[in-house]
Amino acid sequence: MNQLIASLNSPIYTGLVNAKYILLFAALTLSACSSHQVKTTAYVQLEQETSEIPEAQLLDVGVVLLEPNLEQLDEDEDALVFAEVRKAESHFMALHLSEAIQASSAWGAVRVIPNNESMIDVVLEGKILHSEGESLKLEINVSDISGRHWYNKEYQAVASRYAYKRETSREADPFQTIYNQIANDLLNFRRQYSGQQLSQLRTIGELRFAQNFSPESFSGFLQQDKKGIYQISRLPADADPMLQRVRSIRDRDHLFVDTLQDYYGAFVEEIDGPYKDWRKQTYREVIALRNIKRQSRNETIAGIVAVLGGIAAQTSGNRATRASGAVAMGAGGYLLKEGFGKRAEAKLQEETLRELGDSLEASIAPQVIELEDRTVTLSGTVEQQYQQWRKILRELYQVEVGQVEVGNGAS
Amino acid sequence: MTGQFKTITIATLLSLSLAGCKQQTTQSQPNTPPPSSSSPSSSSSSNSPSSSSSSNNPSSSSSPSSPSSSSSPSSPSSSSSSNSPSNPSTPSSSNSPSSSGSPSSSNSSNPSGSSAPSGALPSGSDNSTADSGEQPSEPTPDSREPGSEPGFDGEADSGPGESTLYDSYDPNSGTDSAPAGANDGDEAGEAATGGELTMDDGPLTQGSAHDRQASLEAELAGSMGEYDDMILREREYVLGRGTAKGADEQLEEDTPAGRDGEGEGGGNINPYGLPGRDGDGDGDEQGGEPSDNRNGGSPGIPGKGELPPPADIPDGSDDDVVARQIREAALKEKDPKLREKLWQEYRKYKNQE
Repeated sequence: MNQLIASLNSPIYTGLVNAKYILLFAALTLSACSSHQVKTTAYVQLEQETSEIPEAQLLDVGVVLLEPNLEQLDEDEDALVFAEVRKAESHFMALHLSEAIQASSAWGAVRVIPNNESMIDVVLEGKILHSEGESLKLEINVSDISGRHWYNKEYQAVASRYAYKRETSREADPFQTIYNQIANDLLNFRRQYSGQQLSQLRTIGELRFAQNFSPESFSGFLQQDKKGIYQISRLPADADPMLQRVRSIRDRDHLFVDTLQDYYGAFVEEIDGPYKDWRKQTYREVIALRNIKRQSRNETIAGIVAVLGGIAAQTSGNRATRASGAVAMGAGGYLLKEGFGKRAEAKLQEETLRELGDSLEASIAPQVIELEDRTVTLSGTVEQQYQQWRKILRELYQVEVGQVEVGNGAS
Repeated sequence: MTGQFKTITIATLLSLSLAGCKQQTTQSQPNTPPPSSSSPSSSSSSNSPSSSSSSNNPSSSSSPSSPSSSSSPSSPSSSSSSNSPSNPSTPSSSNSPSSSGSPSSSNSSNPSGSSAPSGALPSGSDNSTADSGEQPSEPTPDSREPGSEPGFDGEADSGPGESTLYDSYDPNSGTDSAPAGANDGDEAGEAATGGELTMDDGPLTQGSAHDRQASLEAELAGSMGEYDDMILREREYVLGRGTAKGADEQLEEDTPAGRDGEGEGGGNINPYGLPGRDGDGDGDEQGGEPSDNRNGGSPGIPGKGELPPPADIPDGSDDDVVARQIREAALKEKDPKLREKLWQEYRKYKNQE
């Protein structure tokens, strides 16, 4: 009995106990670090305008195709960004965003537009900062047709694990929350405007469009202040022939934008299945990868600390300390090995994600290319047509002004 | 003797007086144009009015200056009222049908706009000449009215633009703003002078401007029509492609499960997968449409947000893929113009079949 007690008080035993404490502490730390996982996400409901808005105050909204932010590829070659997937996402997200905005019942026509050159009352531009199955981060920039900048904001959402369950994922997008948030912010900002201001915005929109097509006829109707914001200086007669022509052209422009909606809608419909599958798979893989990376990092750090501690313990004059140091070095070596093993596992996981991305990219690339081709072709054709109309309007203006001048000269 | 002397003196006086009368008539004849100098002296007194009326034609060539000045104050009102409406009418009529008919309407508006004044102007000039009370002008309205109308017509054809030239041409008439058509009527005779050239120059440029405007309008309308067709083709393509894809998917879905019934046939064919795609082909939205049309995935029935087809459109039960695509597109189209074109296309296609 006395021997047993003596052995318990021996330095070796004490060292073993210390090493156990170190390992236990390290294990607890690691286990605590690896327990992060979002199981539920707060779902933001879409706000809807309940009061009736007069037609003259219904602003049209143009959602510009989101910027794919492919610069990320240049900055980090290892980034899990896939060019074709990002391009597809720029359409996919813009369309979902436009649907959410339209559903808030506070706007006129909400359309996805290829660029911000369209003369639409409110233009919403965005950039995809980060996108995979688990999280989405967007930067949104809103301005109106008068040139006034509304706001710039970053949005981030994390998808719930349940978002990808088949029963719950049929209707809503896993990141519907982010679209709803953007739509709500847009609606709340619009509420700051009075009815008169909203009507003026619409008028400015029409006049800017008219200026774009017939600058000679409509040059004096708008003026820009020091900040470059358009203001109405006077109005054309409602029955002004040139205004009527421009309105007629604007109807055609809306038709063009509607056709683009058909393109985008059909495209999104085509990629919807593969893209959602990809998201679902990446959701799991991204979480797994993150856990593996975290474990790898923690184990590596713990191993290094243990090894260093063990080495330090070897300098001690106490045998028990040296013994415990030796144990710690052994444990540290084991942890380091585990950490390196996890790192290799993470590499494999990344490869899996890359393969998933490549696979999706390969499957949707033809659609993306075809969409781009058709969009570019149609836009080019339409732009040519617009140039022709501009020329005709210019000639008409000259003919009409010529007549007036003759009349004024005679009188 | 004294009696004889008296009678002689009376006879002498009578003869002298008669001779004096003869001299007067002969003296009056030189005032008239030379031909009248040979006219018989006896009837000269009675003929003089008639000869003056017949000789008014040449004499009126000098008199127009007075009618023109007298009628110009009156005619301005009529001409200005006639021209001013005609000018606005041109753009307004050309605007209203902005897309297609503008050129023709704008062309037709000019003649119509100016022909109305031509009807009004004569009456106005009649009144003015009557008011002026000048003797030579009194008979002329009756005789001039028919004769002057062609003159108005001729000017009316040249359009309202001539008014401006008249302004520049006849600044001394004293008619400033209204002048335009006012002078139109009056200067009919005067036009024989050098003014005619400027009159002709003006209407020609104005006319060509109108022609140019009309042709530009037509070009714009035509190009818009082409644009509409192009857009329509594009939409048909996209919709047709989506529909075909949807039909293929539907076929794939239906094949293993079998067509067991009710509803999931054609109602599901929706290129965009919009709400209502899944399983709402059943019944409720179909209204009173006969449900037997729906076998085999025929898309004959309008769904949510779809407008019913025109009465002459068949139920579509025998549609092939292309016809079904066109039909789908037409049912979904909101723009009535495009919708009608799609239905036209559908009819054409069905007739070809």
